[in-house]
Order: sequence, then structure tokens, then C-alpha cells
Amino acid sequence: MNAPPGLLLAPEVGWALLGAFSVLWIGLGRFWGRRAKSLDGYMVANRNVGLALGTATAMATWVTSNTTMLAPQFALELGVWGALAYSTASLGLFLFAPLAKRIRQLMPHGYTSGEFIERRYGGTAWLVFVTLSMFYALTWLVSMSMAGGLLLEALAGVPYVYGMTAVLAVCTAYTVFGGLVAVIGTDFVQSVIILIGLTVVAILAVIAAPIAEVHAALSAERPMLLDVLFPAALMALFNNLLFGLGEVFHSNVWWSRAFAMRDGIGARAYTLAGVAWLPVPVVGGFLGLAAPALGIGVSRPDMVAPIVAGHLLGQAGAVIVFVIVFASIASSIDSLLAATSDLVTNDIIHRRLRRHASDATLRRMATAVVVGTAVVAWVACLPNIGNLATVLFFAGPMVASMIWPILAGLYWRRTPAWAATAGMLAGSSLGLLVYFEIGWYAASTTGAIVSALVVIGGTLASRERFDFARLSDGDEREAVA
Amino acid sequence: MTDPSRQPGAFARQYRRHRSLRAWPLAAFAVATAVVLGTTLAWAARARATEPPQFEATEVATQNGSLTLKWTGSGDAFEVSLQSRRPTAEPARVVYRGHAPAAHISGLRNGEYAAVVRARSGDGAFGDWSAPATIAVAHHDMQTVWWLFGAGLLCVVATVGTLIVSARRSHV
Repeated sequence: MNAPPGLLLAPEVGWALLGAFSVLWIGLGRFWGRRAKSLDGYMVANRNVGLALGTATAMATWVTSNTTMLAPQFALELGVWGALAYSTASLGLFLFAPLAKRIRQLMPHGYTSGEFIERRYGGTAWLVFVTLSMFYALTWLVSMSMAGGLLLEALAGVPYVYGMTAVLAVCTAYTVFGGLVAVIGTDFVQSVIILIGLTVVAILAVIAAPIAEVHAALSAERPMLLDVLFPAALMALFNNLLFGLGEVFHSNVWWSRAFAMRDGIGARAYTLAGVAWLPVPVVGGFLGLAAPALGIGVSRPDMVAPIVAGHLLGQAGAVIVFVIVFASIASSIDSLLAATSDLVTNDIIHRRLRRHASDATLRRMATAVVVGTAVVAWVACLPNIGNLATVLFFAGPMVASMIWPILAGLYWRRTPAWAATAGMLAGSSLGLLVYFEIGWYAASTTGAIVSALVVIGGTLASRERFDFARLSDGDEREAVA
Repeated sequence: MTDPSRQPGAFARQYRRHRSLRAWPLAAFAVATAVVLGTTLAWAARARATEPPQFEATEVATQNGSLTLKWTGSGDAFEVSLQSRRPTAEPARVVYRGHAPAAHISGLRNGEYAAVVRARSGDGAFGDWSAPATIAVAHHDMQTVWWLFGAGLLCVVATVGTLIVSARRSHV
């Protein structure tokens, strides 16, 4: 079936692929979801996830639509430095490895990152943290749902709203059926698909566009992409690294996996996931750099990878890209829906509104929260404002400002609550100021630095001695059960 | 001999002949009008189809050397050409060929550039180039860059160092 002019796939093919994979994900979600009957099963996968599943879920979740679509955009806009900057996000997984171990030790019965913040720093810090974290979760969810709609539109001409709605609806459906168990199970299949697909694309792309030719074309036509002193790219290098660290350190997506993994698994699983993730943005970045060299017209920078793969590899390439990106989008949307649901159900509904609710009631509420979160994201996606980078990086200073409150809270007894709260607020505010005054590529760096200074200064001035045993105290849910 | 004009049906035949004679000028006028109108409309449609596209913004500034140009205008494909004006004038080169009415350009050095776009109509021929859009590229000054780069490096080293040392020292 030939694609219409300007498209890489016929719309019927796009819909057929979407339908086939939707059936697969929902079917697998239902199959694995049978194990998620209890609240612990639904929220933290019965705390029994092993090394293989743990590695696969961490890797697949971190391979988001942003990795497959934003990493090429980074390379297209910021050159070789940009590709390198994106790959530094693997440090987030490497450095979370010791944190995962520490979290599991300190809070063996914990559920969320918000719960840690509240026990460590109190209610005010929790409120700031949850507000920032929920905002970030929404921008991440919106950017990925948008990516689904944009991908289907770019590849097969499926109208943006229909594609975005379909992708979001499918992920919501299987997350509702099986909670974190279904999410981790599908993540395993999705990570295998992503790795095999990317290996094929990488080999075929290098054959079709040799590195020497790409270099020659960039030197002649887009010299800044190879310039060692490319100002915006230099600023983006550590900005992206710190953004990635902030995302992983604070987000309940990663904390819920730390709680879900068996004792002694977390550190190894996150380290292996970092190794497996590293080549993904490198391959994506090469596709971005190859576009100008191959004379491929790019109208939206976040669509460069699908367009280049489709041009290089024909319809087969477009199908492979569709499968990879859909798998990466699904693996992240489901994780985010589940983690956000955990945060709202545990931190707000259970700990504040319905303290004596039974596990069955909370399980039903968690399901409702998944659906509600998806609806909010759908509404936010409708206007299709901005490209993926601008949507996601707006949350950059907020997540970067949470690195030091988390780090200090897990290891330092002297860090006071006011320093953590002030660090998050000051880092977010000044980071956002820089976002508008200079650009997104400097905002996360600013947020992290300001927050670090406040937290370190507050710690040095404090005489407090926090008792870490308090983090494992008061597991109300066990008492209720 | 009877008067032919008094034969049965004669009046009707005469009437039809008179009417057809009177109708000739009317028909000729109608045909001429249709031809003129049709030609005018076809000419106008062709003029519209070959009318150059127009950029949505004719002056664009960027601090990272990348930008997206958007335009309006009909055509089944478009071509964008870019020429450096300052600091050195260089020959124009095509930077975009595609179906979408937008082109993303990146990797530009400091300077001033002019971009023009033209549309291809259904018969495969390109129309005229548009009026140019001026692009001003002024990358961030290196002083700001080195400050942020250094601060970012320091923050990363401090974070990683603190984490490694704390993880080694931690005892639950």
C-alpha cells in the first residue's frame, strides 16, 4: 500500500499498526494484571521484582518518546554536543543505583517519594515537593502523549487528536487493568522491542549514510553543529545532565520501582539499565545529524528521527520506527500513570482524606486516579502547543531543584526542613527566570545550583540531628490492614 | 394558387425562423461572455497558484543558530533557499524541500541571512520566489556560557562526589 505524498505510511497501515499493538499491550496488561489483586500488587508489584524485570522496566521507562524523538532533535539543533548532552541522562540511572539501595533500606514498606519527603522534612516541604512533582509528571505525560499524536501524523497522516487519544487510551487501559505489575511486565517486552529495533535502524542508517559523508555535509552546510565552542550546546551539556538527575532522583516513577524490587536488586538493576540505555540516544542523535547531510527537509525538529528513518529505510523503516517509538511511549506513559496514581492515592487520599480506607477501596481509587490523570493529560495535549523540548524542559528547573533536598535528606542528618523547602522554591523560581531570559538550556543548571547552595548552606548552619529510623516508623497501612 | 403564408403551419415556421435569427446575437454574446469569464477565472486561478508563498515572520532572530520558518501559500511542495549576507555574502543554497509549509534550519553561525521560499504547482513547475525573510543569528556571549558551564560542572562534581562519599559512609 503506497503512502500519499509527504507521508511515509498509508493511513490504513498506521491505524493497523496502532490497532495490533494496542491489542497486544492491553492483552498483556490483562494477563499480568491478574497478579495485582491486592493494593501492594497494584502499587508496588508485591515488592518482588527480580533483576531481569527490574533492569528492563528501568531501561524501558527511561527510553521515553523523548529519548527517541528529542535526542535526535538535540543533535539536529545542538550538534555533536547535543547528542552527547542527551546521553548524559544515563547518569541519572547510574547514580540512582546507590539511592535505590538506600531507599529500600530506610523505607522497606514505603510507597512513594512524597511519603519520604513528608517523613523527612514535614508537611510544608511535602506540599512544595508534590506540587512540583505533579507538575513535572504532567509535562512529561503531555510531552509523550503529544509525541504519540505527532508520530502518527508525521508517519501516516492520522490526525493529531485521533492519534494522541488512541495512544493515551491504550496505555490507560492496561495500566487500569494491572497497575505496576502490568506496567513492569509490558515494559520487559517493550524494552526487547526497543533494543532490537534500534540495533536494526542503527546498522541500516550507518550503511545508508556513512559517517564521513555526514561529517562533510555538516561542515559545509551547518558548521555550528560540529563546533566545539557552540555556546548553547555547551550550556545544554550540564543542563541536561542535571535535568536527568533531577527527574530520576525525585520522581515517584523511580521510587516506586525501588520499592517494587526485591532486597539487593535495586542497585544492580539501575546500573545495568543505565548501560543498556546509553546507546539509545547515540543512535537517535546520529539520525538527527544525518538529516541535513541527506538533504531531508525537516519541518518539525522533534519529528526528525521518524522522517530520516523513513527516508533512509523506506516503508519498512517507517514501520520499525513506529514500533520503537510506540513501545517507548507506552513504556513511559504507563509508568507515569501508575506512579502518579500511587502518589495521589497514598499521599493525598490515604494519608490525608481517607485514613481508614480499606485496601480494596484504595485499590479502586488508584484505578480512578489513573483514569483521571489520563483525562487531565488529554485535555492539556489538545492544543498541541510548542514542540516537545519546550514542553518538557519547562519543568527542568523544578526537577533540578529537587536533587539536593533528596540527596541530603537521604544521607545527611543535619539538613533542616526549611533548607529543603527553600532550596526547591528558590531553585525553581530562579531557574524559571533563566528559562525565559536565556533559554531552556540553562534553566536546569540554575535550578540545581541555587537549590544546592541553599541546602548546603542550611545544613552547615543547622544543629539538627535527624533520626533516620523515623523514616520506617508509622507504616499506617500495615496497622490498618 | 394559395398564399403560402396562409398555408397551415406557416406562421409557426416563420416565427421559429425569426426567433432563431434574433437568438444568434444573444447566443454569440453568451459564448463570448463565457469565454472571457472562463479565461479570466482560469488566469486568476493560475495567478493564485503561482503566487509566491509569504513568510509568517519576515524578521527572525535566534541565539542558538536554529529556527523554524513558516509560510502561507498554496502548492503541493516547497523549496527554501538560504543565503548568507553578513559577515560574508555567500551563494544561496537550498536548505529545505518538502510538502509541509515550514522548514527547520539549524547550525547557523553568527551573521545575517536571507531566506526565500517558492511553491511547486500541480504541473511540477516552481513559481516565483517569495519576498525574503531576514534571519539574525547572534549566539550567546562566551562569558555567560563559561559561567554557566563552570557552575554546571561544579554542581555535577559536587553532586556525584557527595553521593559517592555519602553512600560509602552510610550505615543504617
